[in-house]
This record gives sequence, C-alpha cells and structure tokens, in this order.
Amino acid sequence: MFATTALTREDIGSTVPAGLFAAFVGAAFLTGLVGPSWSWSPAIFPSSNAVTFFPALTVPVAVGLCSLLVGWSAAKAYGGFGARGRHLGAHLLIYLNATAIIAVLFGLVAFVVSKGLAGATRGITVGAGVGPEVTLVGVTFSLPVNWPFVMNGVALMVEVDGVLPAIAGTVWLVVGAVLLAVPLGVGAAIYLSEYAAQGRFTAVVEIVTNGLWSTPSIVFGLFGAAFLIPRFGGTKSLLAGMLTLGFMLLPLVVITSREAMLAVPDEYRDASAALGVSKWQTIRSVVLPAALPGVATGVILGVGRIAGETAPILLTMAGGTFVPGGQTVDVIGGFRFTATPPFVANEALLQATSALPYQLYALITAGVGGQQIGDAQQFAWATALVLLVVVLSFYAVGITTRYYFRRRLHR
Amino acid sequence: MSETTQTADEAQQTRDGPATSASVTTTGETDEQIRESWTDYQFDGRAQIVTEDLNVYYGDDHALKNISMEIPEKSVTALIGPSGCGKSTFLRCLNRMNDRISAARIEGSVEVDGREIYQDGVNLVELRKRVGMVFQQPNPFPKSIRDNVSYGPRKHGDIRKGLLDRLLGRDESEKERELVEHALRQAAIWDEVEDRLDDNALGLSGGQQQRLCIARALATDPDVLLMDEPASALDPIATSKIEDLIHDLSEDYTVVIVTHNMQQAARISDQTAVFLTGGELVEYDRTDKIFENPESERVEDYISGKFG
Ligand SMILES: Nc1ncnc2c1ncn2[C@@H]1O[C@H](COP(=O)(O)OP(=O)(O)O)[C@@H](O)[C@H]1O
Ligand SMILES: [Mg+2]
Repeated sequence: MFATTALTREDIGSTVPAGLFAAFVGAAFLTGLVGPSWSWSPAIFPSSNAVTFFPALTVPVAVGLCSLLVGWSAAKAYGGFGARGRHLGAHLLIYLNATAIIAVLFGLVAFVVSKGLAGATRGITVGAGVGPEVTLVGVTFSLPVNWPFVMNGVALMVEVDGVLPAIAGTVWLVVGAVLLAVPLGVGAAIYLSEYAAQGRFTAVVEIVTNGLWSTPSIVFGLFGAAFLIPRFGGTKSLLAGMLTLGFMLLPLVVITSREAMLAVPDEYRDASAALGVSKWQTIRSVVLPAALPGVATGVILGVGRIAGETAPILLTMAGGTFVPGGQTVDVIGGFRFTATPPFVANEALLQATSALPYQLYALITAGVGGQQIGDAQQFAWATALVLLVVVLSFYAVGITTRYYFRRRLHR
Repeated sequence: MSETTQTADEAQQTRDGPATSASVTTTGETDEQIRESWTDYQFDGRAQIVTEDLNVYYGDDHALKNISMEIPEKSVTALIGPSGCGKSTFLRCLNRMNDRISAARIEGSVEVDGREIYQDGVNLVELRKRVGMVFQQPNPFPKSIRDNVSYGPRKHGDIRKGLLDRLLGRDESEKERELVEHALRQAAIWDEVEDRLDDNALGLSGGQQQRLCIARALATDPDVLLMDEPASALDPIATSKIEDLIHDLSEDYTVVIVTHNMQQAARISDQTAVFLTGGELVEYDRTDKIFENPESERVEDYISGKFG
C-alpha cells in the first residue's frame, strides 16, 4: 500500500528509493559483505562458460551507478521537482555522460603518452649541427635537433633504435592514398551530383558506395594481395599499399563530396548560368569552392581511418619488425626516367616498406625480448605514441585546410 | 490624359489592320475584341524584344498561352499578375533560362534585336551576356565583392587575371578595377563598398546584395535586364533604392521587371503587361492606361484588388 501511493509521488518516489539503494550498496561494502575476496558466479550461466564477478570490477561499477542515481535525484530535489527538477536532473545526467566520454578519451591518450614518452624521447639533443644531415633543394645541412627515435632505424651501431622507416612509410602511404582517392572521388561526385539525373542510378551508386565504406579492411587487403600484387612484380610493395588504402578511402570521399555539392544552393548555379557561364566553368569556379570544406571533412575522416589501418598493410606492403634506417623509403629520390614507356620508374614504390601500425603489430606478435633491441616493450609503446601523434597531425593538417577553405567562403 | 485617348484611338485604327497573331485560344467573344484593341500597343522607338505565339508547357501543364508582345528598348516594362500565372516563366523565355528546366517545352518565337533566339546555332553565351538577369532572392556568390562583379567578364575571357596570366605578363587587374568600379557605380552601390571590395559579398545587407547582383549582371555589358521580383525580399528603404536604380537604368537599358506589387509597377514602369491565371496575357498597354482605364474588366477587377 505504501509502495503504490508514496512511490508514484515524484518527490519521495524518486529520492527515497535512490537513497535506500545507495545506502544498501554502501553498507554492503562497509560491512565487508562485499570485500576484497568476494566473488559471485551467477548460476544461470552453464558451468562450461561460467561468469564470475570480482570486486575489482563490481565495486567501481556499483559506485559509479550509485553516484549517478544519487546525483540525479539530488539535482531533482535541488530544482524543486516538477518540470524544473526533471530538467536539472536530465542536464546533470547528460553533463556527466559527456564528461565521462571526454575523460575516457583523455585517459586513453594520457595512458599511451605516459607509457611511450620515455621511449620516444630518449636521447633527444638540441644544438647546432647535432642532427642528421639532410639535403633540401641541393643544400646539405645538419638539423639543429637530434631525435633518435624518429630519426633512426634499428641498427647495432646506434645508441637509440628508432622507427624512421615506419614513419616515412606511413606518411607516404597516406599521401599516396589521398592522391589517388581525392581526384577520383571528387570527379565521381561531380558526375553524380551535377551531370547524372538524380534517380535510380544515383540511388544504387549511393548504396554501393556506402556498402564499400563499411567493407572490412581485411577484404580490401585481400583484394590488394590477390589482384594488385601480382601486377606489381609479385612482391608486397608501397605502391600496392597506397592503392589498397586509396580504394578504401575512395567511397568516403565520394559520399561526402557528393553531399557537399548537393548542398550548394541552386541559386549559385542559376546566377552563373544567367551570366552565360558554361556548366563546367560554373562547377569549377562556384560549386567546387563552395563544396571544398565538405570534401575536406570527408578526407579528414577517411585519413583518420586508413592511417591506422593494419590488416591491408599486412597483406600488401609489410616490411620487417625491426627495420634498419637504410630501408627508409625515398619516393622522391626514387624516380628515374627510362627510355621505354611509361618513361618513369620508381623502385622505391615497388619495395616492401614498413608502416607504423604494422610495425606495432609485428612488435607485439614478436613478443617481448626481441634479440636486437634493448627494451622491446618500451620500443612498442613509443611506436604507439608516434603513431598516435602522426595520425593526429594528419587531422591537424586536414582541419587547417578546411578552416582555410571556409574562411575563403565567408570572409 | 489626352495621350491615353490617342493611344486608344490608334488601337481603334489598327483594329482593322493586318491580322494579329494572338487570340487563337481565347474563349469568349468579348475577350477576343478586347484583346484586339490592345494587341498592337503602339510606342515610339524600336522594339528590343518581340515574342510571337509563345507557348510554354511544363509536361502537360500549359503554363503560357500564345503570348505575343513587343517590348520597346530603353524603357521599363512591368509584368504583373497573380502568382502562378506565368510571369517568371515568360521572363525566363527571354534569355532561355527555361532550357535549364528539363520539363519545360517552348513553342513560338522570341526575337531579340530582330534575331530569333529559339533556333539552332544560337550562341547562349552571347545571348545571356546581352540579356542579363536578376533574381528574386539576392544570390551573390560566396566570393569577394570584386570577384562577384568581375565573374562574368573573367569567365568569358574578357579580363585576363590569375597566376598564369601574371606569369605571361598579360594581367589585366587595372582593366578589372575600372570595370568593377563602373558596374558598381551604375548599380548605385559604389559609395557603400568602395573600401571593402575584397570582403565577402555575403556580409552585405539584403538590399546591398541585390544591387551587387545588378552590378554583376551589368558587368557583362548587356542591353536588356530581366528582373524577377527583385525587391520582394527587401525592406521598404532597400526597395525604394532599387526602384530609383531601375528608373536610372532605363535610360540606357531595356528593363523587364516582374512584380506582384501594383503600386511598384505603377511607379516605375512605362508599360505594363497583365497576365492572369492560366498563363494568358490579358492586357498590355501604357502603364497609366492600364491603371486608369483598362479595356478588360478582369484587369480592372485585378487592379482594384477584387481578386488575385
Ligand atoms: N520548374 C517548373 N516545373 C514545373 N512547373 C512549373 C515550373 N515553374 C513553374 N511552373 C508552373 O508554371 C506556372 C507558372 O509559374 P511561374 O512562371 O513561376 O508563375 P509566376 O512567376 O507568375 O508566379 C505555375 O502553374 C507553375 O506551377
Ligand atoms: Mg514568379
């Protein structure tokens, strides 16, 4: 009787049960009912795959739940119940939720940084001429910084082993994939949004591109291994990796570019046509510039995905686990002109190369205590940190580009 | 007043003249007579645009029926009528913007400066450079004010500007500057924007944007300006600026303006064409005649606000 009358009232009904529940949980922990040695195996699971809850998991989850519940009812009480109280309660829940998501994200990054920072920064020296020699536009000079982890490969002679070949591999990989996917994808989007009649054909293409974008990356990897590699000399190569990742990126570029172009108001097209400007010129000078921020968004998202991709690289371009610095891919220096068609050749593109995600994967599967390396675990964490930084830098470049395009439209 | 009578007299005289091509599908006998009394609207000077038996269909929808009218050069011609009666459709026929609507089918003839525009081999670029258009919603490009005005000439290759041209030493920025200033002055907006030509046009007010669009159309050096309710999205002050501008422009340009605002038509136009529901041109005459003493009862009802 009490339950049905009191609990349906909003003030007592929501605060009292919340308080009772929290008190019960607190009591259970305090009295040692649920102590460090407590465990619970629900009988509903068959013994072959029994599930056991241990305090290490149970206690934080229970505490989190209780604080959410109590916080919610407290916010309702603070707001004086009614519409305002519910409003405050809902806000508190959403706010806590968002904070929790951000906290998890920062926790993740902080974890990788704390584990990897020592390895990644070992032996950094700053000063004139301490760094390795580089040749830029014919001028050779020494960098003022020496950062062994990102400037060395793995070798017996060097003091600190590094991942330079993998960094170079990842950067070239992404550059190659973008160079392939952006022109093709934007071209396809122009055709789909400006020339093809919107109808069944474009609807089918949209479904197919969405499907391609959701295709697991290992399938793209298999395609690369079975179709591309035999055509590039039968060995895994940087070029095969670039093309495979380019094909992975393509559908997202098509989808986002097409949407960005369809969102460009028809008024612009009318205004341009009324001035006697041809359709193609209108697309080039009005539609594309207005759609570029949207295109950039697509490329940013896509690069975020492909830069960390492991499976396709594994199948199409994997190098070694511990890669000597001498194997750093040099795409620009690799170009050679030949007397026979196609007149240019680039051995660098046709060699197997390492990339950060693959190297990380190889390090983990090779297990701790690689023969050539002092502290393999530290090396692996440092690699993870560098991978994170490289991917985030691609984001930064993409977002800056998009900001630049937007500014041109609005200022 | 006496002029009006004279026009009516002339209409009387020409009633028995050469058979007019209009009035093929008219239903009522009286409509037919009324139509004949005004079809040969007389004006001094040259006809810039002549349409004859112009019919437009959107699929099965017969949107314009046998429109025959002559539009005199260097004057303001207003097209009025209730919404959906085909005013915009008629306007779009004059620079072939209807070509962009796949459902639209056009029959009949439109001559601009004596040259048929609906025939093979007509250069659409040249036509639209000669017959400019301003839309209901101001639609400047998301570019700088300068780039908006010089857009047409640059795309037509009349002004060379850009990296390649700079390298080849044939950059025509000076020519562009003059052209932009000239067009903006003509559109009565130069004083408001001269020190911010590189700002984005989307930062201008609605009225300024519309005058910028007029400048953009003037920059290709047209003879005719088509305006589709150019002030309907603007406040009264911006509207009156546009009206003054149209009045000034009619000294050098042939202006054809659609408006649903009858006071506006009465204020700014030299002649007025009244379209009524169903896509018919019911009456076309000097503006004062239309507003003071229309031949057609339906036009009188429309103008006095009895319907539409
Ligand atoms: N793009 C179009 N497709 C199909 N029908 C149209 C189109 N534009 C206009 N119409 C039809 O043509 C008729 C005249 O329209 P419109 O010329 O826009 O009239 P107004 O400008 O006088 O309001 C209307 O019945 C309208 O439904
Ligand atoms: Mg209209």
